[in-house]
Amino acid sequence: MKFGLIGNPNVGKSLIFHQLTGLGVEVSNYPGTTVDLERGNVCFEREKLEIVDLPGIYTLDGNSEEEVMVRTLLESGDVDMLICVLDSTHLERNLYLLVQVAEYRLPTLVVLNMSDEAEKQGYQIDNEHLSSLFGVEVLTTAAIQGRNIDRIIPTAMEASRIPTLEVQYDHHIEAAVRSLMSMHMAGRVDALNALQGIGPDPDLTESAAVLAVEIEPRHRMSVHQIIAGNRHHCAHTITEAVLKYHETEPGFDIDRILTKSFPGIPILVGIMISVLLVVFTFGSWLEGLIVSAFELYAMQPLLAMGLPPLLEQLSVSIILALQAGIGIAFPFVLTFYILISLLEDSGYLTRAAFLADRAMHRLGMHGEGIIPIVLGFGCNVPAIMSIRLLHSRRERVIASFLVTMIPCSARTVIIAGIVASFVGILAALSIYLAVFVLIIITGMLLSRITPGEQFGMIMEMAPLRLPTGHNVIMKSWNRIKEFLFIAMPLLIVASIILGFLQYAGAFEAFQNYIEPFSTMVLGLPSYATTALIFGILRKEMALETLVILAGTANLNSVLTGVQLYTFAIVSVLFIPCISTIAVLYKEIGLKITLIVSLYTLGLGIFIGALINILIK
Amino acid sequence: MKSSSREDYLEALCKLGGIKGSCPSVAELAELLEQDPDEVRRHLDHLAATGDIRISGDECIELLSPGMDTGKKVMRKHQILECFFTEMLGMEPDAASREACVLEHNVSDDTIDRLGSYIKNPPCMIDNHLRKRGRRKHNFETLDDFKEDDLVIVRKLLWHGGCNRLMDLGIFPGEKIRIRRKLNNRGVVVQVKGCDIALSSEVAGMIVVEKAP
Ligand SMILES: Nc1nc2c(ncn2[C@@H]2O[C@H](COP(=O)(O)OP(=O)(O)OP(=O)(O)O)[C@@H](O)[C@H]2O)c(=O)[nH]1
Ligand SMILES: [Mg+2]
Repeated sequence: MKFGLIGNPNVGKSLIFHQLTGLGVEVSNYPGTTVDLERGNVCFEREKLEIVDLPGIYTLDGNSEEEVMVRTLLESGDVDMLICVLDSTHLERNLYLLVQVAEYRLPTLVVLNMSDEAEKQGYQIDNEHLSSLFGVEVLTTAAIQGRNIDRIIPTAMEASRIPTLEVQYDHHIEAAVRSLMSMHMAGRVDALNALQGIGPDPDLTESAAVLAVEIEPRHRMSVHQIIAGNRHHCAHTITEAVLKYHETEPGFDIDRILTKSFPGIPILVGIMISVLLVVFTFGSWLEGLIVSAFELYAMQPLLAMGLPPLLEQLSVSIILALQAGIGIAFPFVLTFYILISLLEDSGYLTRAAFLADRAMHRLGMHGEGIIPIVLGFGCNVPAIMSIRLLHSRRERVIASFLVTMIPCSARTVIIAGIVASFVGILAALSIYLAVFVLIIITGMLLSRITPGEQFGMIMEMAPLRLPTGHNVIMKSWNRIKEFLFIAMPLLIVASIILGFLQYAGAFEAFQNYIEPFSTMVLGLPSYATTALIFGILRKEMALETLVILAGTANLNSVLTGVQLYTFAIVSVLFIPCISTIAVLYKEIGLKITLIVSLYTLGLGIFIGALINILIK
Repeated sequence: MKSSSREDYLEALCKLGGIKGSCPSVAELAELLEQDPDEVRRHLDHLAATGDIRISGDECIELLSPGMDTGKKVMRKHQILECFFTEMLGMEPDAASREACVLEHNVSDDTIDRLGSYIKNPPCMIDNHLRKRGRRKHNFETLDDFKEDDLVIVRKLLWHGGCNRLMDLGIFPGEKIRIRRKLNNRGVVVQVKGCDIALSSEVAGMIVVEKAP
């Protein structure tokens, strides 16, 4: 038995999915969090049931990627039952989708989520009446408090029914649907979709196109418009019948401050800068503690043991890897993830997108583009995945360039660990500044030369909400888990191999080879360039490799300030890490991935060489 | 037979086939074209001779594939032109249809393709003020012409291809919406069906509204 969780964006589908299956999926307070199908299992009376969390959609007959994905899933018959999640505070708009879902005639359970907020805002929904109008069972929940979540599966198993609601369409549409149904033996939904030019059957869509041509001039509207109008009317009538509204005392509207140009924009800039500053200062402080603890309790006792040289070298490698990994993961990455999760859950990101819309246009995107960019500061991988919420390929191409240039937390580690520690905090901030200027130049350039059309922004504002500690911690933990359990073993293995290679003297050969380029162009010793290359595996490995190859964590004893600065800026710009390249390839294709990689490689070397020449 | 009247005939036959779903009769065709049945029959014989159609008895004119192709192409040209005249230039539908009837025979395929994609996605980045000035003549106001807290009624969406998302969100002719926020750059947040929706100025400039009474 397979259930699909369907509904508008940001109504709490993923939170319900998490509570039913226990899987850690992304739950955030902005529309378009889930971009792909997520599958999970739950046991009910010793039977294994599969649940699919779907991306949020506004309609089933659109052409955006998520809409097509959900429609195809429904048409393929891959799900046996639907759990349609509605936001009780926005009933009418949510019913517009339910009206369409009902036409697919799959057993359905309607879940009225967000009932806690609906009550507060004075909405009261007559479940019985709603249930009789649609012919399906209705259940009221508040996922954030866990209210009634445990009743979803039992109710769905026992009481979900095939909806009986029929939308009354305009008589021309009804006539066209009837003739398509009889001519092609098609179902009602297929006929309606075909009239709007969608559907897999070319014969059907072709006949439908001919009929559509007849209908459209009479109404001076497209068929989609007529159908949408009828459905809105239906949703409106039902809402009138089932929804009661008691005027409540309007509280203070924080949007009066947040979405005005003033003080909204200063607040936006302030928030972004304080996030960076907190990560920097708190992170460096914590990192210092961790690093010195390792020195004191692990490194020194080890060296005091006087092991045979090979064994000692390898043990040192392991400790260095652990020290570097943990010294990065908790202070910088975790702090950052917690701050970003707070922003995501508060609903502030949609305000930021609205304010930044105009500025983002200059970079060839629109306001929603700020979401991947902000996520990019944490890690480029989820950020690249979220570029799907942009509507046109043009924006995605531009976003994939810009996001890969954003200094992610791993690069923050390099900037903080090398420049902030050994050169100074202002120098560290100047790297950010330089990178931002380059990003802006790249964006302006790309917005001129990238082919394709530009859409304006149409985005639903998420309601402002206090983030819950549980979700923030859970989300940050899930994200850091990937780092700890995937990156750390990799780091340790790589560190051992490096230690071993160093012991065997294998680097000498490679370094002799790269020496001329390294010293001439970048002004760096050859081992630093080797370290840069390791940065492609994972960005922070550039730093760790540098430490291992230099043989000391006290980098300013072997490299000058300018060299450290060059090293940091080159590794920040230089080629995205392997995992970013992999998701880029998946999301946007080989060609763009190659261009992005080459562009950033060229840019990194160019800037490094520039600094080298200017300072010399 | 002139090529333009051949195209008119084939277009009409395509249309009739679409409405009825079966093959049309000579009488119906004559009625649609507002011509004398005898003259129509004469032209039809001509078309049958060139292989565009097949006539079986008096009642059934069947389009063959070359005729069908031409007919559909002309029909599409007509639609695109008519849409351009009404939606983009603000002409009356009847006049637009008449103009389209004349132009559909002379316009090149390339032009039509370009026009079609222009109507679907008009370049949003055109300087807003420039476009505004051009539009003042037509005397309609768009969403971004109003101020915060105004209550307006949607009249029309100018953005032909891209407005499906707007309609799905409820921004639909006849809907009452409230302007919640307006920035200096003409970006707006509107309240529709209880939800707050943020729109870029380009999008707001595509929504024709009037003040609610
Ligand atoms: N107050 C309240 N908030 C809720 C409730 N259910 C979910 N939320 C919050 O609503 C936001 C959106 O939840 P998600 O589960 O990510 O929504 P979604 O439907 O999966 O959204 P998309 O993936 O974008 O389609 C989160 O911030 C949740 O904490 C509820 O019952 N009451
Ligand atoms: Mg989700």
